[in-house]
Amino acid sequence: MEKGEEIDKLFRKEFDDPVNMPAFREADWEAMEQMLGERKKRPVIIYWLSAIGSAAALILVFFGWLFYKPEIIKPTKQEQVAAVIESKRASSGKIHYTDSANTDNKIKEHTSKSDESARQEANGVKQEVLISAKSAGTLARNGHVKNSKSFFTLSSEELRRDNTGIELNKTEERDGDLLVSANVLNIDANDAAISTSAITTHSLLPTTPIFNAELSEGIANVRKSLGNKGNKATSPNRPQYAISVLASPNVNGVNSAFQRGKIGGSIVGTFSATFAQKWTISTGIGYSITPYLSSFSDYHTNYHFATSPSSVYANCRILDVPLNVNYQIYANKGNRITLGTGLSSYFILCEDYKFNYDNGYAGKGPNTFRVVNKNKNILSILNIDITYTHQLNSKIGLTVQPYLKKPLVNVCESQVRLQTTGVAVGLNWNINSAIKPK
Amino acid sequence: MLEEELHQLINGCINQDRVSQKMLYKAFYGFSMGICLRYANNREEAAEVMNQGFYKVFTKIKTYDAARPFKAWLGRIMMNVSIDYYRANLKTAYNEDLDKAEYLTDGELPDRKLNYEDLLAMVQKLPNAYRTVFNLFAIEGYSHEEIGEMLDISSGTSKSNLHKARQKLKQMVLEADMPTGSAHYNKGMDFSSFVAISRVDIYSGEFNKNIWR
Repeated sequence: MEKGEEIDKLFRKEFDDPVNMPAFREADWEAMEQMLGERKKRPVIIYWLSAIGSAAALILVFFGWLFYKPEIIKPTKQEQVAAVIESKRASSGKIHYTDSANTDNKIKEHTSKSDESARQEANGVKQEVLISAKSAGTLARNGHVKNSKSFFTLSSEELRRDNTGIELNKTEERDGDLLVSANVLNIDANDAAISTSAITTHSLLPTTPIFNAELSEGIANVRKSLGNKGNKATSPNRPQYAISVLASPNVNGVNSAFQRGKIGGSIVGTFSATFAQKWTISTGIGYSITPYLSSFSDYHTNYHFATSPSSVYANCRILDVPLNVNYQIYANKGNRITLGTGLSSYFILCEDYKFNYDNGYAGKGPNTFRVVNKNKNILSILNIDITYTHQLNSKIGLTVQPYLKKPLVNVCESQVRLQTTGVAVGLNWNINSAIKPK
Repeated sequence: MLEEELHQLINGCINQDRVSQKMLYKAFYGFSMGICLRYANNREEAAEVMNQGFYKVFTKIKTYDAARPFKAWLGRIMMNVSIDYYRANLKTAYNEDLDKAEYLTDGELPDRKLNYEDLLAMVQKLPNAYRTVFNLFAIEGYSHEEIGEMLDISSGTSKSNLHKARQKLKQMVLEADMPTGSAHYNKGMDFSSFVAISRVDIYSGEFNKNIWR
């Protein structure tokens, strides 16, 4: 025997002997399990943080754009008709532009700035002109303005000459009087909007106290002439935003088998925007506890069971991100019914499976199985709901919503068609009532 | 374990089924721990290394070729993880006391049979560099050239380390057989290293300079 081989043999014999294999220690497996959990969770957490952060940023950008986008105010037909009538009255009121020097100079000074700045202010000036026209028209109608230092002394020719971008369309002179046609009278029905414009108008007008008083009175008349539309801040084109919180018990079954359904529960928060009083788009996030029982034939896995379980009981924790659209089918005295549909995304946080065996095999095969943060189904679950809302006051409403969630693909680790139905009850809060109009 | 059962467990592990993972872990715990214990300094370190090995098994199990023996694949992973775990110490240990060992003459090994725990404790007493080469050569059956490649050392160094490992083990075995020694090496024997290290040697060592300052 070669030198040294003897001692090698001594050690090899003992080390290779299966009898000497160390016994299993549960503590080592626990450390192993912890290692598997920790290393697996870390990227999931990073994924979630980035996903939630991106979603939040998108939502903020979207709503920021909605709230702060420049509003293009279009007059309604009713307002245009009213304006035409008033402008005609104004023309019959014989407004004389005898003392236009001050205002002309003011405007000239205003428009003799660089082209760039002039263009920037063009819209504002135009609006001011329009408001003034309206106000003066009303003042004239009421006989309050005679030979006043009116802003109307500004001629359209001068404006065009200064190349400020200001154009008074369809202006005409008649007997030395300037008539402003109704087409240029763009005044929002919104009271607050008028007030704001009136203030800026004042800054351009000659600082005559009497005129200011008259102007204020004129504005008041304008308000009356346009009709009192209440204090509502919303225009027909402005969407109505609302936040809802709904909770519901639910019944879950596989392949429409609600007779074997298990009771779970969910809570969901949604954000919705209603357009044209009929259509509502909503999204949000919900958390649901979804237990279900399925036969083993519905349970899909690559794992080969030595003995097939008779049934599988599962309990899933699901993050649900819905994107729905609703259409109003009924509305009367604060009661509203809408029909809705849309798609949900499932992010399945945790799945616990318990395998039920026939008598005699229980305990021998795998009994439980847990999957954490593995499965997700993006926009793969069809939502159908009917929503009844009773408005308790201008801000708060009570909502009852029967719903059905029907997956279009197999979901969960078990790859089942897990359906959920339930009745959600909750409150919704009208955001717009808390936002001051521009 | 039957081949069919093993196949089922592997399939379960592919699906990240925790039950299957535990069953596989339990089934090969003794085998894996046996390997890791030989390369480690103690049981706790061995358990840590073994879990690192199993983590690789569970995360890379899709790459396992079912046509080849699973046990060999698993054993190779455990061995590689063990080597990697102590890789940083392999050359350090070698440099520290390579020239300080006093060679013993070959003698007859005692007739008394030493048990597994005794022998394991002896191997664990070896410096990492010696222990790794001894394991790879004497237990796993690799050649010095292969060991040199695996550990990034020359085959000459591998031979030298093996020789010194054998010398140390033989010394420990002989001491264990002495009448004053205990029947169980790791229980009663107060093993003193035969490596003669003078205070001057320690003081002049690079590592210990900082300690003696």
